[in-house]
Amino acid sequence: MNLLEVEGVRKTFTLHLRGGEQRVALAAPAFQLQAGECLVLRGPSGAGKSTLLRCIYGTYRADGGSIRLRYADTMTEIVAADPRHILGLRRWQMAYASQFLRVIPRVPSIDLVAEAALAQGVEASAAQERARAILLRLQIPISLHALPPANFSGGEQQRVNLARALIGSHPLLLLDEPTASLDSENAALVLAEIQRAKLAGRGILAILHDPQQIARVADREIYLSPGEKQA
Amino acid sequence: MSLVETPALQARQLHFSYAGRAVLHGIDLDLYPGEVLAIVGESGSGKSTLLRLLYGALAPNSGEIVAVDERGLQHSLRELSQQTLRALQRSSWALVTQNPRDALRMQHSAGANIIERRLAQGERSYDRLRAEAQDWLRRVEIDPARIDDTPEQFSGGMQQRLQLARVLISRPQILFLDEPTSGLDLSVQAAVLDLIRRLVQSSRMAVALVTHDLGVARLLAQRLLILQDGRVVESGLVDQVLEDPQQPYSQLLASAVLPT
Repeated sequence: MNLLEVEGVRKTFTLHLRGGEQRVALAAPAFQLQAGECLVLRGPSGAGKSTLLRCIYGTYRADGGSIRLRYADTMTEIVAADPRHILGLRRWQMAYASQFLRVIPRVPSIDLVAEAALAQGVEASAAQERARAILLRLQIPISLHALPPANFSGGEQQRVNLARALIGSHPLLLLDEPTASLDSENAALVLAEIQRAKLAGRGILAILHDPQQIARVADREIYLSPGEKQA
Repeated sequence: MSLVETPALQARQLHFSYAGRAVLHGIDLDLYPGEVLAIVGESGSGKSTLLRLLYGALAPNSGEIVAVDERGLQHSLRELSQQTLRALQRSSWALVTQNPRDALRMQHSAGANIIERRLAQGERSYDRLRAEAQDWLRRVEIDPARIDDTPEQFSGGMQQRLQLARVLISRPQILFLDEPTSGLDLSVQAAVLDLIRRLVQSSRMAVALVTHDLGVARLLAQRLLILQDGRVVESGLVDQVLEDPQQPYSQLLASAVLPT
């Protein structure tokens, strides 16, 4: 059984404040993703790569088409699903790491990271332990764990954000440029985490640009072309 | 691990008029355990009135509100006696408003304010009550040594946290928040929001949050409902409504949010 099936997904923004102007953001090709597989989205800026991840996560409402995610041995539809249903899928089935961390005032990094595990019913001290281990693997030193990430560097924030997505047992990971603001050493740590997730049987849909990085983790690539949006 | 649970509160087709003017038209909503539902809109949109209807402080002209208790039994608010409704509001529910002075007993000590609900629940041991009051002061980050001070001696932000401690001590099933952080300094607002956030995560409390501040809604809520002129113009996941608003009015509101 596939983990994720995407078919005929389109996204248009109607800009009511600009006289109802329509902006086509995405016309995605059909694809499937298996457990334990890493699929990389490629294509120029503006082709709709991030838009596709957000449509899958439910942050954007796709205009049409079908996005089906495996849940309890059935494929469950995300397009036009009830918000409560999507919240349930986010809790158990899919995790998303955007490029930018949304900082919450006063909340220590380790608690931000532990959140998804707690939501899945992991006991508090075990969730903290898991969060600490992931942060250390991503070379966020222990002295930073108790601090809110508000004044961390861009690269540190990005790794905290990635740790938030990795900590749960979500079968699907949606990663939007997880290596974007990282030097090569830290990028290698992130690629190692992707490998680790694959070995754990998770499916990964990631936006990456660097051909060497893609070669290290990708099983397949999908190319989004801006031209197809006009089709 | 069922994806969707039973709501704690359901409202169907609520209509409310005041002095011949329609304030709310045909509101439907569900509130679930363990979630924060934000109700946002500008002044005069009807959001505070809606909260008062849900809490049972006002009765709708038509429509129905059904509360589901912890045992899964449904109670239509309309059919509850005043006495039962008051008992529900004082133990299983809690209302926190913008102005803590309206809710606190300003001449009584902080400790006396906090334990009131526990007394009503039948707790009589002075030692236990005092220990609980100190525990709750600590939880809301007020120095427990100030247990015998009156709220009059507290800052606005401390009074607001005291108001929260005063109702949360009864472990309510539903918390109704009306602009809980308006008028607080930003640092104090952050402390109060952090407290609410932790309490929701650590309990299965359902929260209906009325706010005009989309940043506060984004921080606390999972779902969002936008009111304009007493109607729901859009509702959905908080990130979806703010990042991909569908209606002209929602787009106007979302475009006015300051970047964080």
